[in-house]
This record gives sequence, C-alpha cells and structure tokens, in this order.
Amino acid sequence: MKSRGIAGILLVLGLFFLSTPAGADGQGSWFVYAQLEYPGNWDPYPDAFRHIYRYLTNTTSIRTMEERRVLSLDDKELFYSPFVIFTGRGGYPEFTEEQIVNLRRYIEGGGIILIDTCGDAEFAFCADRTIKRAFPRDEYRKIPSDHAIFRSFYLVDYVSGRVLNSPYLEAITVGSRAAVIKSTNDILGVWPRDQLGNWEYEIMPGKFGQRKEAIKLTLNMLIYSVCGTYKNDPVHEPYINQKLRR
Amino acid sequence: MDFGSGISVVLLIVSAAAAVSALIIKPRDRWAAARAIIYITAYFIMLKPSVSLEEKRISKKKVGVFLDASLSMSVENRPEDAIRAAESIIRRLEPDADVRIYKFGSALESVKRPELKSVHPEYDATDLSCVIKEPGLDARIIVTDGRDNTGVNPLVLNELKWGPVFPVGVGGKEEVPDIGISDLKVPGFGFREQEIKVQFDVFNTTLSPGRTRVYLKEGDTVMSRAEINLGSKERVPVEMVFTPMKIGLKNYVISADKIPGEVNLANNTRNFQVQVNRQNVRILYVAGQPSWEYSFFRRLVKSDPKTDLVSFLILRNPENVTIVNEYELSLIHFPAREMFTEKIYEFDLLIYDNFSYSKFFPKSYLTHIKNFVMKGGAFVMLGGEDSFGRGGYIGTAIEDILPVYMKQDSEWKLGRIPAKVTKSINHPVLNLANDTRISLGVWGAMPALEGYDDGLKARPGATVLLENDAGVPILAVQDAGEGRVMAFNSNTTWRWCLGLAGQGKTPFYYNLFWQRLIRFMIQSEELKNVQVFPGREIVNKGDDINVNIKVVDRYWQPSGTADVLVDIKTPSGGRVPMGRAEVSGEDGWYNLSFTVNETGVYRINAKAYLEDSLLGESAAEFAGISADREFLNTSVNDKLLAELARISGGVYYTSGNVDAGEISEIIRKRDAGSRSPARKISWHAWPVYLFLITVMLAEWYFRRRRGLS
Repeated sequence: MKSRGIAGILLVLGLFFLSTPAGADGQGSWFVYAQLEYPGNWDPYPDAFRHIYRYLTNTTSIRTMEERRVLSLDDKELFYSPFVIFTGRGGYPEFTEEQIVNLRRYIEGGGIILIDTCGDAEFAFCADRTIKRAFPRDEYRKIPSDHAIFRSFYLVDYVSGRVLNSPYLEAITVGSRAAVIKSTNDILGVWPRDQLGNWEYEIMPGKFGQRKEAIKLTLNMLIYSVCGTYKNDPVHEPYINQKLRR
Repeated sequence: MDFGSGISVVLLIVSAAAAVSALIIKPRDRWAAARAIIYITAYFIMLKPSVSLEEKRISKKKVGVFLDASLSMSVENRPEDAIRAAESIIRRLEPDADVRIYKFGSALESVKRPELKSVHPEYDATDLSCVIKEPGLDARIIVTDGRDNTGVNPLVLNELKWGPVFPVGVGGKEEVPDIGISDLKVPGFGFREQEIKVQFDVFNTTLSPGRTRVYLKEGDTVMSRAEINLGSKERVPVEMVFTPMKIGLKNYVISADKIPGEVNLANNTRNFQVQVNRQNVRILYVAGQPSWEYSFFRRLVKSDPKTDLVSFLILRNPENVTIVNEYELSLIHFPAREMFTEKIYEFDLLIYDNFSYSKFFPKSYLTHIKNFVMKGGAFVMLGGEDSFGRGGYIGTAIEDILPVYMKQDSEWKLGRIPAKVTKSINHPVLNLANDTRISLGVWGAMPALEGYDDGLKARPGATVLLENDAGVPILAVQDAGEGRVMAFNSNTTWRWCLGLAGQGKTPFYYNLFWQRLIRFMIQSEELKNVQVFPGREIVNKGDDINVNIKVVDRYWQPSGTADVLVDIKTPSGGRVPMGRAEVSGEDGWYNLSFTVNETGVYRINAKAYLEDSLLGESAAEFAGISADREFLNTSVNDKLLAELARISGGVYYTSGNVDAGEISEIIRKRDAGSRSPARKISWHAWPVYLFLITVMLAEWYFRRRRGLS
C-alpha cells in the first residue's frame, strides 16, 4: 500500500509539467491558493502550494492558477479569493479593527479560511484571538466524521497531519458552511520536498498512512471549498457507504 | 321685502287706518284719507312685497310595497302567497297612505296596481339594497324570502334611517326535499403531486333522512368520492382529498347526487379553483469541474426549500491519474445515459457549467436536451474554457436552440469584465429593485465578472440582457419551442456574492438575481411577457366578463403596439368569436369582454405578436356557473329580515301573520313628513292689482256722487 502511494506521488510529479495551466491576469472560476500575509512568521512552508497545485491538477479536474496569491486582510484581492490559507508560527501583532471587519465580511460573504496552526501553540492562541474578534459569539465545533470535508474527493480514514495533536478538525459554521476550518496537526507540513523530491519534514509519530491521509485531507479541504456539500447528496450516499464498509 | 305676517296683517292695518280716519277726521277729509291710504298701499305693492305663509296640515304617507320577483320566489306556492300578502297590505293602507308598488330582484321596477297579480319570479339575483335605497318613501314593506345574494349587506346601509322597513317573509316553513353543499373551504393554491384537502358541509333541509353520493371532479375525471348519510335537518361536514398532477389554475366541481323528490339541484354542485404550483423547482446542474461558481450556486439553492438540486460535477477526467486505491475515492460513475435520455424530462431547469460533453456521452444525447426544451424545459449554458464553441457544441442540437452564434476558434479571455446592462433594465431578471433607477444603480455597483468567450454573437430574436464593452453578449436569452434557453457567457457570478461583501454589502442581489433567473427560465406565470387576467374566477351564466391582458416586450417595457390575438374556448368545446383584444392604455394593457353563456370552464388563450414575431402567450381559465345562485338556499332568511326590521324601526312578519292594520298604525304615528313646507304669497299678482284698481275707481265714483273733487 505504502509503496503504491509513493509511486503514485512520483507519477504526479512527472505529469505536472504536462498539465499546468497557463497563468492570466484574471482567474475565472479557477482555483487559486491564497495565503494570508501579516507581520510575523506567516509562511512556514513557502513551496507547499506548488505541490498542492500539482496534486490537484494531476489527480482532479480542478484547474488552478500557476502562482499562489499572497494577500493581507486589507487587500481588495481578498474578495477575489474564496479560499484563503491562514498559517504561521509564533505570535503576531493583533490585526486592526478595519482588518477584522474585512475578515468578517469576507467569511460572511462566502469566503472560507483554512487555519493551519502548524502545531504551534502561540500561533494557535493568536489565531483564536483573531477569529474571536471577528465572530465573538461563535465557537469552534468539532467537524463530524460524516462531514463532506472527509469525502469530497478522497475517503479520509482519520484526521492527520505532520503531527497528530488532535484527532479532529474544528470549524465555525456560517449557515451550513464550514467557513473557518482549523487544523492543529500541521497539515501543510506534510507537503514540502527538497530538490531531490525527498520529504522535507518527518511525520510524527509516524502512524501508518499518516502522510497520505494528511495529503488526502488537505486536498479534500480545498475541494470542499469548490464543491461544498456535494458529496452529501443522496445520489452519492449508497456508493460511499458501500466503500466505507470495506 | 317680506312682511312675514301674512295678508291678514296688511289688511288689518289698512282697515285700522280707514276706521281711524272715519272716527277722528272730518267728513271732507275722510275721503282724502281714504285716497291717501289707497295710494300708500299701491306704493307698497309696487315695491313687490311678499308674504311667507306656513301652515300645518296632515299629508298622506308615501309607502312603498316591494314584491320580490327573484327566481327563488318560484319555489312551491311562494308567488301566490306573496301576491296575496301584498294585496291585503295594500288594501288596508290605501285609504290612509299613498301606496307605491314595485317588483324587485337584481333591479327595481315600478308596478301599476292592476299589474300586481301578474308579477312573477324573473330576476336571477336578489338585491335588497335597491329597495332600501329607493328615495321619497316614508316606509317600505318588502314581501320577500330575504335571500339577498348580490354581496351588498343591506344591514349596513345608511338609508335604513330613512324610515321603517316591514319585511314580510315568504316561504318560511315549507318542506321542500333538498340537499345542498355549503361552507366550502378550499386553499387558494396547492402543489403538483401533493395532496390538497377540501372541506365542506352537505346539508339536508328536510325532516326526512336521506343518502347521497358526493363527487369531486376535474373535468370528467373523478378525483374523489364519498357516501353521505344525512339525518333530518342535518348538516354533515365532509373532507375530501385529491392530488393534482399538473400545474396551472385548475377548475374542480363538487357535486351531490339528488335525493328523491328533490327539485332544486342548483345547490347540489359547487365549483372551485386551485392554483396548482410546482411543488419544487427541480434543477439538474452539470459542471465540467468543481468551481467557485458551483459552490456559491449550491449554497444558494440548497438554502431554498422550494428548490431541488441534483448535480453532477466531473471531479476527475480520463487523463487524470490516481494515486490511491479506487475504494479510497468517493467518486461515482456519471450516469450520463440515464440522465440525458430518460431522467432529464423530470427536471425544470438544466444548467451546463463549463461542460464539454464529448468525453462523457455521444452527440446524439444532446437531441434529448433540445427535445426537453422544445417541450417546455429550461436550459442555461454557463461559459468557460470548455463551453459554447470551445466545448464542441457547434453542429449539435444545442446549437439549434442557443440564443447565440458560436465560433470554434474563439478565445476564452480572462480578465475582469464589467457587465453592462443593455436597454433591458426592466427585464425581471435584471430589475432587481423593481425600480428602473435603483436597479441601474445596483448593476452599476456589481463587481466585475471574470472571463468570457469573445466568439459569441447574439442571434436575431435573442434578447441580450448583459454585454461587455465590446458588445459581446454576456447574458442572452430566447424562447425555443415551449421552453427557454439562456447563454451566460461567464461562470463567475460568485464574484457578485463575494465582491458585494467586499463593498460591505450582503449577497442579497446575487441571491435575488439567481432566484429571478430561475423563475424566469421556468416561465413562472408572474414573469411572462403576456399575462391574462380574467376579471373574476367564477362568473354567473348570462353575465359579462372583462378580461385584461398585460403585454410587455422582450425588454419588459409595456407594449401598446402588439397584436394580441385571443382564443376563447367554451366549456362545450366551442369558440367565442373574439379575434383581437383592444389596447386600453399606454401601459401595455389590453382588454375585451364577452357574455358567459355556458356553465363550466372557459379557457382564454392570448398570443401577442410584435413586429410579426410571437412575443409570448399565456392562458387563464375561469368558471361559468349557473345563475341559480337563487337556489343555493331557498329557505326564508328570517335572521336577515328580522334584523332589517329592528334596525329601521319596523316589524318583521311572515306571510301568514302579517298585520296590515298594525303597519298602518305605526306609519301613521310617525311624525316624519306631516308638516307642509312654507310657501310665500306674493302681492305682485294680477288679482291684487285688480282689487286696487277696483277700490280706486269706487272711491273716485263715490266722491263724484258726493260732489267732491
């Protein structure tokens, strides 16, 4: 199983250069990996997006932009980016009130934020404080195992990451949408590779399938942002249940 | 000048003056005084004096006797009873009153005394208000069954203060074998394939128990039936349930079988209408890949309980690789054959989002989409790199129905494109604020879309709603067969949702745009170019009905220059010869009227043509019912008649116990009308001048006789 997964990954890397879409000054309805920039260590894995793009374009029909979009909460491009990654390590100065208002508008207007704390407690504390300012009356809740996030493309066995700090994801929902999704397992940390194609960061504790499940979960979260709860439609249910019973 | 004291006062003064002159003036001077008095009197008369006289006198009261000549009075012996009662009253009142005789029903008509015996039931309605409003009467005596049925409540008329009303109820206690249907309760609307509950009472007015069978029918089709046992004078509540299968305004009839000896069958049937709507709008959404457009659209329609969304997203193309086992994927097979050859007809709206069919099913399946549209379905093609000409639709059945020409080698241009509203701002899809000026403001503030196909060109006959700066259609629509097709040359309306949030606004107008678009595409009745409004849903046979037709052009501007052809199908399958409806104003209204001569469902179909092309058509229905509303309930309406008497100060009698003497006495005692009006007597009249001249000649004659000069 493990060898097959790695072989697949290498094949994806090989196919990347055949299928990367061209860039353009607009994005149409293509997927764009947007990442929040702020004063502090906002970008622990600068190349993660390239590997994620490769996986997406080679294993799914999703079209992606060539580059990631780095933006701040003041940036007008925020409202062109329905999915934003918010990650980092360590603390950061609190956002201004205008930025918090923008964040709230963005999420209420349909945007989705994926917060990856990289397993870092200080960043997690700061990110929680930021979200609390934007949504003072809302609380994070565990995402149930039958949520569309866990089946939007792959059937995910368990909540994984580079580390296993938490067995579940949490989210703040707006309407029926998981609008702020939080992972404390350093999910982006499973992606970076060196120039020779080796994984840059070891997984801990090294549970069977831990990296693959983390990759599957990452992609599922991205696909969830463009599919919503599609996989919870009745037409899918019997097929999914049949596979889950295996 | 008005002395006000009457001629006697003046004569008294003249006489007094003459007497004084006779007593205190010398004989010679008496004639001079008499002459002076005469000339002074003549002088006053030349000034046109008049005198106002008022006298008290007892005049005859004006009493109206009104005989009900509506059809309900034809039951049993009512005509004879009514005439007999009226004659006895008239005989008693005539010596003391000025009796005026009328017959009434839906109108009021004066009757001469000798014609009273020939009054017969002829009117198809009873309107008591026309009796009460008849002016110039001191009292009204109404011989009637009290079955007022014109909708005007006589008890609230101010004219009841004009004088006492003496109702004489006719037909109170007769036993007529009769059952009927009443108190019908029907919801105004229902949903296709969903049960509708109807409640009503079946009543039996007789002492004998009865048994009947009740049917609920749509046309000749029995939708429901029930056996009803009716006790003596019993009213049985009945509930029936039926399931409409087609949308539209539907006519239904409830009927009860007659019981032995029953003559009055008019109240055995009741018509009603129900507007049957779609239970839910069913949308099939097929996307070539997951996209923001789909996810935002999905959120919107999933939050609307009246919309069912079935979607298929192509998550993986044949060229994509798999890095895990199949059982780790949540993917399912795309059931293209089943969806596009069989199931498609179960949907109201099909949306293709950046979807190229050729990888998934043969070209022949597209013919089913065309057929689906021609039979009334709606189809929207959203843009993208794999849509329109780039998606391989040139030369397919889809090309036949799209409102745009496509190019094979067109370019999918990325970049932000503000979509400009054409002259179509009043179109229901765009007039989001229901106000042209505000809606233009809304569209001016809409965030730019991203990406369009530069090879599209609107077909003649298509309505372009949005375009870009270069005039490339962004949103165009046209009718095809009985359905409607839209080309949306972008798939980034999600920008309107998220972009509005960036402006500090809610997604309200994004939501409203799609809700309107869906309703327009599925041809919701309220969003048609041509709408037919019958003046009434139920019309009595013999009455006229006015039908109004609203026509707006493709850009939703009221059109007063359309040719509106009207076809009216009668219940028996015939046609009412109408032809064209006449324009009635500048705002796109047309109207016509005709007489309803049959009972049953009339169907009005209107087609509007503008510049020789069909703009749209619409239909509406109404029911013609028998004028026998007179027979819905034939028992005497004691309650109403007694209340009429009480409010007006009269007394209620039945035809068996009417007391004409008492009526006469009550009327006589009333003071109203006993004082005659004041009248003025003018001195400026020839008898007065004749008198004066005579007096003056007499005075001259006697002076001559006495030798006076």
